[in-house]
Amino acid sequence: MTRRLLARLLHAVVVSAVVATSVFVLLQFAPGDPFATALDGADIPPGVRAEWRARYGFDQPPTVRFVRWAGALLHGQLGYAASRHQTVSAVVADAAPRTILLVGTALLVGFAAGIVVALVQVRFHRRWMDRTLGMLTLAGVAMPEFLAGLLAMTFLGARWRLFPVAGITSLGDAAAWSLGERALDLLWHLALPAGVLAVAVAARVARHQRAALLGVLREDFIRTARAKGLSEWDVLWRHALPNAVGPVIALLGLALPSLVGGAVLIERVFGWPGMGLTLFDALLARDYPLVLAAVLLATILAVVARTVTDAVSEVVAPRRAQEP
Amino acid sequence: MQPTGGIAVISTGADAETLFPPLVVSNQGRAVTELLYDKLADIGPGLNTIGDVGFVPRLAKSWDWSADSLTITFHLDPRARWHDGQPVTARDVQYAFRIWTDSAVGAVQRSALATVDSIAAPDPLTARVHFRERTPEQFYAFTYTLMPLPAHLLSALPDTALHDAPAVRAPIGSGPFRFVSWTPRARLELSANAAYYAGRPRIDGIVFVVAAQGATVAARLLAGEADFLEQLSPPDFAQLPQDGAVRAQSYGGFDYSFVQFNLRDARASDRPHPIFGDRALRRALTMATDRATIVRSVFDSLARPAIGPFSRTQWTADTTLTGIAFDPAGAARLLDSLGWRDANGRRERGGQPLAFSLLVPASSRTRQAAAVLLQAQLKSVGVIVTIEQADFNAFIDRAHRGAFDAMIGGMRTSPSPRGVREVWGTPGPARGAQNWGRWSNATFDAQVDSALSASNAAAVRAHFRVAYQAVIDDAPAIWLYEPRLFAGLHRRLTVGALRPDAWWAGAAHWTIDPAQRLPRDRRASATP
Repeated sequence: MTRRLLARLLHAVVVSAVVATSVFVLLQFAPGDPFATALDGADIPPGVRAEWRARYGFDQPPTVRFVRWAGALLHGQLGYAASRHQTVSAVVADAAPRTILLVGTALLVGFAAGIVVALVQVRFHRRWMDRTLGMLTLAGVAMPEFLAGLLAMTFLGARWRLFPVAGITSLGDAAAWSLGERALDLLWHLALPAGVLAVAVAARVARHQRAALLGVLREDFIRTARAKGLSEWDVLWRHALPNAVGPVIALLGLALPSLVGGAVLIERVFGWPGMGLTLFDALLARDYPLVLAAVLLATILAVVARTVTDAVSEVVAPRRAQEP
Repeated sequence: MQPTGGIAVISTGADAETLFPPLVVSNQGRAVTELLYDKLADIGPGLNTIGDVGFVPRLAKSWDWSADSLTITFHLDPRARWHDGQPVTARDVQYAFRIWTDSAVGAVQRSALATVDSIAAPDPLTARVHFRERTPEQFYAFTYTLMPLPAHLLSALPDTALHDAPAVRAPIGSGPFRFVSWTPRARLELSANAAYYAGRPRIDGIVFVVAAQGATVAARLLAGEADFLEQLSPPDFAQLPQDGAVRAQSYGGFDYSFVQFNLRDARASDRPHPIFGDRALRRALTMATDRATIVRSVFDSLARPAIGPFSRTQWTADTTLTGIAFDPAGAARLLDSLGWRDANGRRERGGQPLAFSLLVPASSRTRQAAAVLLQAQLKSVGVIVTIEQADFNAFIDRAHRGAFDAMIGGMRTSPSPRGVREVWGTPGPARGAQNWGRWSNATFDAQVDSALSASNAAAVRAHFRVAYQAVIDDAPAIWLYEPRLFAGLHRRLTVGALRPDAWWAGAAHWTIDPAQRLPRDRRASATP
């Protein structure tokens, strides 16, 4: 286990380095820099653009910039986000917890909901409930998150006013609120963006979990459990699910990168100021240090999630660990 | 004046990039910093930029000119205080000037202060500004650009540390509103400055709520989560509720858009463009363009055909100029006379088709729509237009490099007509830094120079009239449209007239109907 973890760690470092280098090289081919557009105006002399480029090292060749960036990274410095007039570390420290909250909530809620849906579908296999939920999960997989977000924002937010259209907290005298009121307010704002992401997760989990459960239900130990007189729900919950959930947990590790990708769009739709929105803004502003930091963070998150889900699936379904 | 209370929530699609005035570039950054910091004097409702006519006192309660106009002495209002209670002094004006002109800081509007030689502070309430030369806009350039900064808080910091110093991110200003909090890309809160020397603002505060998605920005206003939206887009109008909860209020704009022809070959800039180097051909293309139809189709009534390289809101605008009228038959005849003959619906000359690419930014739906209509109109006279879309950064990059045939550009002007020299002046060290099409006209250059050095408004107008007519006649561009700005307002908010260059300028006088207060209007930090 320890050796595998160390190997994973080494793997994470290599993947992160490759991704960061690739993104840096790709960005060199993109036209513009942080100052070409931001400082584009009839009343801004070209000399000011040149000064700003020199201040942030954009007057240097890409190789020099890369060596400087990589050297600083080894010292724990992510550079300066010129578009935000802040260090990249400060921007990340501000935005990353919100994305972790958003994605984490979506992952937990989506996973739990997906499992429940799959259990219900299997319990009522080939009946109208199974078919209806099957169609809904197919729609959940097929619907682009961006479109789902806009629909949710338009109808549940703007039209029916059940949830806030955007933002992270309500306006008003927040200083007078209790901790519980603040938590509820945060959840209320989290509902739509996390809900949209969770629906996509739940749909994928449900479809995979249903298939895995149906496979396990053909096993001998399930026949034995039924023969002992257990109810069908007990069979599903206590015997089938523990043996079918492992692959789905592993799936979550693989699904995390796409979830983070979905968060970029969802954060934009709902004005959720996390790393997704930061990455989007940074790309538009050609703020390369910030783009690199965001991509690096997403890569590390994906690799760590993969490692964790592998470990968890082994614990939850030890039988899989014994397989070659 | 009794305060009415309430918090005005402003829905916006962009966040301030910084709260430090010398580094502000964006309109949103200007809005926030100009609510936090006061200027010495502010431009009047007429937006005059010559001399000091119409300017209204702010931190300076009065000012005097020296006989030679090379010195202006500002007398500061003794009641003016920074938000921490310290008085605003002449030292703050001196310090701001030093920061604005320090290349290590990199203030973007530094060139506006190029004619200022030094600032003396004979006493704490007197700032004497010495100019190197007299210019008609010296008062405007100085007061519109420079905002006194709190020297007692910032002067201890190295100039290079001012970009992200905590004192800059949580600023102490001198304006009608105080800083409360800032969550970048989400929310920025200001509260009324109860000790404001010109009287406490009538509302308790302003909150900017930021959303990156255009639809979300409008949805917030339509859902009642916001009170104000700077600019309604054409699709937003269709969604305005029938019950009158949200209304549109018109105010002038400073933008104009145009199809710019590249007069130099995109592949070799030392050669004229094979098509657009010909003035008569450019005029023929303008004659073939039905701008009124384009404007009506894209904007309905939310824009007007542009006249020339200015917006109607600028005081030098001239609506009596002679434009090139829409005349497709005349355009066809002119093209025939130039040797561009119609061959099966396409014009050719010597085997070369009359075809060009039109560059548009992918981020602008209106410019894309205008490009499609233009393509169809020019096709009817045998001109083939290929539309090229580019990401906005790529668009700007290609514009700067002159790597295009024609492009739909947009320009945001300011009250001063000075910017026209950079956009349409002959490219060179003194002018034309933004002249992407590399058009050159000696008459235009000379008239603009004369206008910018003339000392009375009538002479300025007269010179600009000749300059504008020269550029219209030479047709380096097809003047497409000037959008008319409409702010969206919730019915509980009353804002008075909005100033075209700064919709936030009168925010201290905005009111919120006490009968329409909302729970969000309650805030502990709102001082009575």
